[in-house]
Amino acid sequence: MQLATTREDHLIAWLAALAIAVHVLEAAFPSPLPGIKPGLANVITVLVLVLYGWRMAAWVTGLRVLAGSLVIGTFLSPTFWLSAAGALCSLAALGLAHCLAGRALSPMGLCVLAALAHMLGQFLLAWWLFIPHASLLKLLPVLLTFSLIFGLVSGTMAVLMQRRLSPSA
Amino acid sequence: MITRADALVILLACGLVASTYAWLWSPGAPASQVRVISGNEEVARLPLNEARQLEISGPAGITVVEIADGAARCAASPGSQGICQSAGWLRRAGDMAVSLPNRVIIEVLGDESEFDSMNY
Repeated sequence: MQLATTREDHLIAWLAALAIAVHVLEAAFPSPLPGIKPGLANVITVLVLVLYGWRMAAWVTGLRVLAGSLVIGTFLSPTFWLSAAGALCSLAALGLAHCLAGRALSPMGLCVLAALAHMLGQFLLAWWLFIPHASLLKLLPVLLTFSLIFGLVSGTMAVLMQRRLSPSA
Repeated sequence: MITRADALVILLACGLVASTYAWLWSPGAPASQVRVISGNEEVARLPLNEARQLEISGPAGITVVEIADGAARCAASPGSQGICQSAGWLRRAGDMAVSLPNRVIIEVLGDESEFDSMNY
């Protein structure tokens, strides 16, 4: 049996594959603290959002979280739920920002927004489901600081990549 | 290039991060009462302004809880490593001392007991 595919399906598959590769590569790096990682797959999400719109970005991110977890072996584990909650929050924030600000926000601003939303989403889930203890809140400022820094780093990368991809802009 | 909206987002993000430090890293409110849990049951809930001593018996022996000067502490406990005692005087809402061998939790609470009971 053969399914009819569109050009868009192929584009989504290619971009998702790229995002999954980044996601898996990143999982190989040791992290100083649970919950802290650069979130470079974010760059792909934001670039897809800017170039192809929110629907494509949601597809690529959803596939990345799903297939990425299957490759790493964390599917349906706490890590997977944290990742999914973060991705959901960051997609929501990106959608809202893209809707409200449109072209006024460059990938830099979008990456910072997405990084903070991702961290908040996964933190709230961790707090609500896994460790409902007030002491966990003491970690939030540190985690948010790192997500701000990594948001700026991935934002810089996204801006540079966007310039390469569309020289006219 | 970075746009004005980007600068605004980054500024707001810095503000958010700074405010979480101010909000979540400020010292807790002084505690007003102590709650002692043995096993799965709350066995005592006492105000901290009356000095007294409690003896809680558990599976490993007797844990002595001392209340004085608006604070509570674990004065003696059968645990071999003294982890419960080394938590010292508990003064700030949310502080706690735990004896795992004796299954005792000593916890001091602030006036906003709703928040504490919801989160612990």
